[in-house]
Amino acid sequence: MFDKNKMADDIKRMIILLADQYSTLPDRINDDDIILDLGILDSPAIIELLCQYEEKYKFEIEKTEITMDNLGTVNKMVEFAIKKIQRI
Amino acid sequence: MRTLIRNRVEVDPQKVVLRQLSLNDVSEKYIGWLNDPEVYQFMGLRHKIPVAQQDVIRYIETCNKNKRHHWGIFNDGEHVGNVTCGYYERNYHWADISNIIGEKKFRGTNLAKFALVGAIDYLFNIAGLHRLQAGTVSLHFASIALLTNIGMRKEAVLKKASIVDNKYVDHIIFGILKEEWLKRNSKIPSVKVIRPFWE
Repeated sequence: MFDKNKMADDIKRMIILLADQYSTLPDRINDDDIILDLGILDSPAIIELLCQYEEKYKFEIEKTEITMDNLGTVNKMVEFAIKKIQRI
Repeated sequence: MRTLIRNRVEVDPQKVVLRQLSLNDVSEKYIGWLNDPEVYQFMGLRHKIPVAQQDVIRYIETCNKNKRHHWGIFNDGEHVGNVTCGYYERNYHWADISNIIGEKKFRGTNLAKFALVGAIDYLFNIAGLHRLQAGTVSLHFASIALLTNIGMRKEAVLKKASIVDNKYVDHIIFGILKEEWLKRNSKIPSVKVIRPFWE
């Protein structure tokens, strides 16, 4: 069984830790917030986030899988990770 | 994703300069970037590959003749990428802005961010523009993150207006007004911009 709440918290922690030093952090990140719209991750950070996400859940993201539908929000990242893990 | 660069170099914004490109800047290295799939994969340029030396010369000549900003990004004197205003709406004082980071070791660094902030500061404060816009395909997460992070606003999603890898994908337009830029709450450092010959 997957603990979706823990997975969501872990992903949010990654986002916060990768947040750009020049940005103002939001009070909280909601599971359905569009991550890119938060404006706190710059391009190096978004690449790092996806790398850490792959490493944490031990799968690889194909180039064609990098879409807003798969990875646009914390919730979508949780669901996508579960699908990928189940396919392994 | 794991193959993407993670051993990034640190960029000191004080060592970065934007300068209008001239024919003296045309080099094999520069032409090589434009033919690198990692660089052109999400750019309109991908439909014009291969890019030859003559194409680059013609583009620089056109930019200089038409007073379009086509800056090289120089890090400690080394040409490593470009920031370009490829389209101007001169009657309404706005332009389209884009960038490339050609030199591999600078991809995934803060260089693009510092260079874009420098260019936008210049275009609003010196060149007299009042609006800038930028576009990217919806698959290009790094570009979307960059534009959002520097303070640009997502203004439009053009549904399936582009093609990547033989599939229709959305094209996203970002914009920002001068007054929004000046009011934004950001501490991103800017870089030095050398005035082109016409300003």
